[in-house]
Amino acid sequence: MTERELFQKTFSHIHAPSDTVTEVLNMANKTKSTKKFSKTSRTLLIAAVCAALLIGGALAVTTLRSDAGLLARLRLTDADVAALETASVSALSEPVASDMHGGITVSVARAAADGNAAFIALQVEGLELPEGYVPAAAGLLISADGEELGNYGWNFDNGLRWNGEQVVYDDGTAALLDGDSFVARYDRGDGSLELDIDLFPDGSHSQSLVGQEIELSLNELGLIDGAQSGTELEQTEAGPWVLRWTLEGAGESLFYTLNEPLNDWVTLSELTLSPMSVKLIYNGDGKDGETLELLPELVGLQKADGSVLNILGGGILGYEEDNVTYTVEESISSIIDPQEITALIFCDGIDGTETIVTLNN
Amino acid sequence: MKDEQFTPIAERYMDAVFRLALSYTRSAADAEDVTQTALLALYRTDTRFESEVHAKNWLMCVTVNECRKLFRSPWRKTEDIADYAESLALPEPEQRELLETVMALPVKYRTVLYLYYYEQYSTAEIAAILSIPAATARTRLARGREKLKTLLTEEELL
Repeated sequence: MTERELFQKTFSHIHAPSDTVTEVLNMANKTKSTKKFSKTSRTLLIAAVCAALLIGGALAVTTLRSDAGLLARLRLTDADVAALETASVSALSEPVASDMHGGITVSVARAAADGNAAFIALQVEGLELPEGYVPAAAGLLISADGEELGNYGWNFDNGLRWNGEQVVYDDGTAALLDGDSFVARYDRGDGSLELDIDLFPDGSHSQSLVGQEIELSLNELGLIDGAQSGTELEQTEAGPWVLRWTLEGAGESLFYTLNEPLNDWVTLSELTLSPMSVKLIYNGDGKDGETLELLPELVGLQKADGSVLNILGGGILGYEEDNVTYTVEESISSIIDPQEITALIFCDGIDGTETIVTLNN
Repeated sequence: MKDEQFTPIAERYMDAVFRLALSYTRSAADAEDVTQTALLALYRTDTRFESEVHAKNWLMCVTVNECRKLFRSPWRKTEDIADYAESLALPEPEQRELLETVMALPVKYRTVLYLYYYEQYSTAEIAAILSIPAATARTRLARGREKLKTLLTEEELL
């Protein structure tokens, strides 16, 4: 018997549970219909609390990812804008482009990008949100200097935030619970809604967008009925809303050569700290096997005052097998001055132990 | 994606997703979680698929990414693959031996072997799914085959 025949005979006996599709549909429809955090999101929140408890003390950090809205935590204050201008990073604090169809105006409310990451927040005015409905968008296309980007993610900001201890609303008050779900607040307070876009949610980009002309086309806006199990957009308004503007700036970063061992088989070789993101280059010792998946994970950036900034997540961008070198990029939960960061906190990929790498600025 | 679009694609490829996730994670429980997450991503994606093959390849990429995320979690538990193999009630002893032998290989070999032998992807396609250079995929396949052959010969299955 050949290897292929043996593989075919063996693996054909392996099946996903028969109720998988039903389960997924239930999860999808629950998420779409409740206008609240799904069970999955709630699990993430609980996991985040567990992470904080595990790591503990003044260095408590969380790994809450995208559910509270990536850009929501990049809400630009005047100080942020000043910091971004100082760092020559693209930033907007006022709408720069807008388009209107069917009484709905879509504007670029905020955008920020550095050498590694890019986020856009669209303000949507005129889309009525009746009780029990969730806002939704479809047909989003974005290009930079004429080249279409892909793989971006977007969601309407549901107003829920994780403040490191609990889920809160924008004003800092504790989020309301209805059963096991948090009640969302899509209205930004002035009747407008906010559509947040993360252009590189998995760190899949290969170059900075700073200085490039962005063209964003949004084809459809509508509502999803929370009482229905389907996900069909209702009361839709067709666009496209087309927005064009340029991401200005140079995206300056701080570069370190560290060669700092993180455990007995992997070393942090290089670090690039940018205002919104971090690039790490690890070097293994040639250990064969699952090193790629077991890399220590960057979970926080420590500032001189002892406070810790969360890491939103990223992806593995590159792997060179010959010298066992890995390149990883991560987004940060807020805008930083790279000079302020004094240490990096890693969580071991195997046993969860914490390692702190101190930077000598 | 609408329910009526999603369901046939999901039903057709959920086993492929599960098998890839099992090859990667070596855990049926993790593979089940990854399968649900990958299919949920399919449900929510706005990607326009040119064909079902395109959708399958997209799903396989998502599956690999989800498996990688899982491996980076400090809360991941290991599972004895022998228990899972037992539960499959494979009709022939060599099938169980193959499954346990493949699963004993490092992840970089067993996923490439699964994609090559079972899913019959080319090394170029495997490289795209795993986001690795094609040369790396070829190297892993060659080394994986060599290791597998050595182990299976020792077991006298080939």
